[in-house]
Amino acid sequence: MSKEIDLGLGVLDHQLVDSEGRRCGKVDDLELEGVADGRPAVAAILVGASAWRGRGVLGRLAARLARGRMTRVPWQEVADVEATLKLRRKASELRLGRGDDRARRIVEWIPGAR
Amino acid sequence: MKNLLQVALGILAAIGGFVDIGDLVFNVQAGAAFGYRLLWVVVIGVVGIIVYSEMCGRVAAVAGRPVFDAVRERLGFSVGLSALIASEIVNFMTLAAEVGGLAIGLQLLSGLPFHLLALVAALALGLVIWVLPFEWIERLFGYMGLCLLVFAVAAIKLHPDWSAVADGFVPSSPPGDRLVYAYFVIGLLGAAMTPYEVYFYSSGAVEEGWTPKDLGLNRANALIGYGLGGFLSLSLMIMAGALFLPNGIEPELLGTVALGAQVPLGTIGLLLALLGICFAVGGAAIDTCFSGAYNLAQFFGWEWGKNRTHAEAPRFTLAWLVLIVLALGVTMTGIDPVMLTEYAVIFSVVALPLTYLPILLVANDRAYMGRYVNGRVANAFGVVYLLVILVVAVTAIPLMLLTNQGQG
Amino acid sequence: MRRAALLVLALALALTGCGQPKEPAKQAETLGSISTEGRIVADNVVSGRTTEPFVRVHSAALAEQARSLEQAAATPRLRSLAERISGQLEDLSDHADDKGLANRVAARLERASRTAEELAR
Repeated sequence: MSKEIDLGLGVLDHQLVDSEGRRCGKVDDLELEGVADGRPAVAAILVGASAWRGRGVLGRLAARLARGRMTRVPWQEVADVEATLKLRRKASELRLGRGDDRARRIVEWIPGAR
Repeated sequence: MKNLLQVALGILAAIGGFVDIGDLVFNVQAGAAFGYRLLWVVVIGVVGIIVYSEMCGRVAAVAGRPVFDAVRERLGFSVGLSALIASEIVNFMTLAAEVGGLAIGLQLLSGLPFHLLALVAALALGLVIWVLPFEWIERLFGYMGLCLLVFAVAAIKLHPDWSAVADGFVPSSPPGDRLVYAYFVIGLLGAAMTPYEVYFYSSGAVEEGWTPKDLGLNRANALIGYGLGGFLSLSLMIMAGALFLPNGIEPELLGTVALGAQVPLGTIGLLLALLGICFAVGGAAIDTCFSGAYNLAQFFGWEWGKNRTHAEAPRFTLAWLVLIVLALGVTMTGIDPVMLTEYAVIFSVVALPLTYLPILLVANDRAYMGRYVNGRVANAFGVVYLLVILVVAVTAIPLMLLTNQGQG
Repeated sequence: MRRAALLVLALALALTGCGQPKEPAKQAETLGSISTEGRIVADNVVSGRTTEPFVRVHSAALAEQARSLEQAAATPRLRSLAERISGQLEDLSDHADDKGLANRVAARLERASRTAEELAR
């Protein structure tokens, strides 16, 4: 990927979509590396409620209330950055979209859910 | 030819879909209080919702973002979350008012007890959403909502003073209590510029996979749909001005609204009015309910969509199910839906800047919109309405308190 | 600071919660509105241009409005007027297809409207 991307506007808080076109979370925070060397790069995308801790006052509050886990998605897993961030693999392989998986077990109890 | 038919069907469905309990309450109360002198406000409100809705549709078609994606991307997590919380609270109040309004409408038709009908209303709505494909839902509620045209017929049959009606389209110096007049200006703008309809529209556009090719359709939809909703709102106000004002009737009940059609048109007018109210309010309840679920899903990144199976978007599904159940709970407490509507409309204008501003910003951002950015005309309207919305948002609650919700 | 603001908001909301007019002239106007509307509903029963469920439910709702005004009435005359109006509306609701009763109710509500008009001046 050699196009210039504005991390603040072009990546953070954007929708993640897996290889099958399934929505699987937002870019809740970014893990940077090499900042001390003067050559910052994105190491990984952080997804999940605990990633909100770095996102302001309400973010900290929400992170505590949601008691969520965090999933780390290495930057190499990102296939493309457009309106959404397209990932190379399926959500299940990247441990994303688990909230929907858990909720699905409840919804499937109701007849006609499929 | 087939396209023309599709557009015509869409228009028919739109008429019913763009009047909700807020419009019923505020337009009729405004007409009963000030006659035809507030007609100009309805026009301003309709133009405002067309501007907002067209921008949201364009953002959806060009940038592929529904409203709350844009809100979170543009405002960040913390500020975006407060916008979400405010929107969800207002959405929920509106939903509870609509479920209650539907129950009252059913009660006026059937005479059965209110609490039973509230349960029936919630179950019916839930079942309809669960079982029917969404296109059918839109057609069903849209066509049946056409019954509301009875109010236009009623307004004409009441023989209003048409020159006074024409004068009402020009803002004039308020007679009587200026504060109450100002309150109704705010309320009418709030009733016209209902945000949940815009969230719903924008989500639908993203789901249908609109592209820049659909921009013409976007503009037509916004103009015609809301234009027709505005026509119905004007009819309601004219009817109230012709019947309630001269008789000194202050409408505080949904039955009074139906009476407006019954007096000139008899039993058939009454029945069409009640049927129209039930379907308009019921359809609005479905849109509001989905809006609430859309906003949550779009903010947090869940899978969403009215055309997905329920199991494909489980958190989204649970969200709208929980919203209906909670709305039923509120309705069962016996809280007056008309009063709840008055609060919901006022609070919704207070929260409106929070979701209008990000869309205006995105619509102006070349990185998102490329060459479909707001042109000078779109921006002129967009900025003017931002100012209108800000003024309205700041004055809404003080006016509501000072005028005791318009009663002076 | 934030808690104070929340308290003020809560108090303000509580005060507006009732939505009931307090001054006598305004109360008289509202009673006039209720009885005029009730008279229209009663006339509809006589002319047959309505349905029984609608009359039953709507006049009961109007009666309830008059009752709550009766409790909040500012003067004894208003209170007795409110009681007369709510009584007539409740009769109408209980006998929603009785044309004879509806006729009498309409006449009495007409008189009540005129009384309310006088009290409002």
